[in-house]
Amino acid sequence: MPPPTEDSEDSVNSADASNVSVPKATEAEEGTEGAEETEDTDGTGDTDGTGDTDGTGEIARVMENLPGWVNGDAALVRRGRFVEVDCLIEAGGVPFYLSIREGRITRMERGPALMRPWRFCIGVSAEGLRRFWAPVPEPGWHDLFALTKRGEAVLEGDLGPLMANLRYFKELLATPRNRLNTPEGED
Amino acid sequence: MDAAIDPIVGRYLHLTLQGRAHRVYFEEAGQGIPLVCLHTAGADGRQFRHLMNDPEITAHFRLLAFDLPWHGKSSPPEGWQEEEYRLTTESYIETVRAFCGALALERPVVMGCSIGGRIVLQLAIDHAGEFRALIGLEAADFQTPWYDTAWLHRPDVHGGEVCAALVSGLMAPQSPPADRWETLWHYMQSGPGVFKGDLYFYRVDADLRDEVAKIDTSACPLYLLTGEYDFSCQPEDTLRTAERIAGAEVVVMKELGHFPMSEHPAKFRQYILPVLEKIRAGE
Repeated sequence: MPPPTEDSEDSVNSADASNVSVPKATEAEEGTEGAEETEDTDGTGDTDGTGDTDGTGEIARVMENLPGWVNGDAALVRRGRFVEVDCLIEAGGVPFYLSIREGRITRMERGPALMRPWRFCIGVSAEGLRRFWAPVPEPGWHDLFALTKRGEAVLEGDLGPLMANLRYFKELLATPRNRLNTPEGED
Repeated sequence: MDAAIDPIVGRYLHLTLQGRAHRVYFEEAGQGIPLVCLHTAGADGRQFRHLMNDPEITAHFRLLAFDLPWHGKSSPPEGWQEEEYRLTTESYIETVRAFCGALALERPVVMGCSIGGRIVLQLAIDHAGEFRALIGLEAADFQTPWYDTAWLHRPDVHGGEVCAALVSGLMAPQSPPADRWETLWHYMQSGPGVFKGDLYFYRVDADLRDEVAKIDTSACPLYLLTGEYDFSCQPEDTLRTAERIAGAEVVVMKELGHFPMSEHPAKFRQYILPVLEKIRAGE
């Protein structure tokens, strides 16, 4: 992971915050390298081109729904109304660069990207996320800090913005648990 | 009058602690065997309100819950503004014993949760003869820290918000939202630096791994109950502690976390009622 840096306002994409697309870092920025999403053409289970065959592709697909889910949650956005940060979520080894402005994810890019600055990183293993997002997570897999204590998650960089808005970021990370287990049309 | 009023009474007790005058708030309900309840770090005695409203318990026990100095409605002592609050083993033990002594409680039961559970072990080590029984909730002789307490008290992070956000994950997902959020509200209301000061006792001043084997449960029965979702004091921490104490009774509580009495009162009473029944039977 690159070292943390201060936020750069230049990195903000002021796209419609309620419906943010998820560009690949390769598509978004010259000089970066990233993974093209591909089909599982060789039967290895590697459907996302990351080389992972342990379901991280599915986790990445869940992550790509995150901006819509978060921005559609008015209470969560209100809790994060002072959040202005560029951060990194490594979901099962797949990096997602998030720009958050006034509690809304205004841009999310899937990496990896070379020398992309971020203020802090939340990294969670693939197994950690799968069990964390279960409808009723098991003891020890049910909270971000339970995961860090057992070595399934790491927090790195300048943790100030994370700790100042800890409830917001914990709920952001847990959003898929609720959304994946809500029948369509009931949310 | 048909107003719904809890059968809980709150009063202020004047105590001299560490040589300084303190005004300590406590609540009580019920009649019978005195049962002193010790709240978790950074919280206050309201955590026990459900037990105090439980007629099956208050029919046989006189429950008392005081707010530690600096907590809840117990103000800090005069001159606090120039100090950094730190709970120590010595001051905590003194407070519990002074409270019981001032109210002339005859061989009370003490039940403490988290830091209250840790001090219960210290009471069992040094003062077992003064108590009828001791109950440690989420108690262990030591547990591995899981965050840096420096984040709990600094001007750029709201202390109440970050304390609540940290401990929120210690509760079981099955616990009712209303009870979970009431538990967290207490943390949000805590004074600046108080949670951090309590954890000085917990992390720095009270490693009992070399001490708990001294506990004599024939002098005072010891019960240890820990929720399976508590990743701060994990069940294995409590089980390891109990293995070193001959005669200690230990229960791992399903679908409960670090705040069993307040996060899910209905579930907790299934575990605590049999313990209280055993204590009564031992009379």
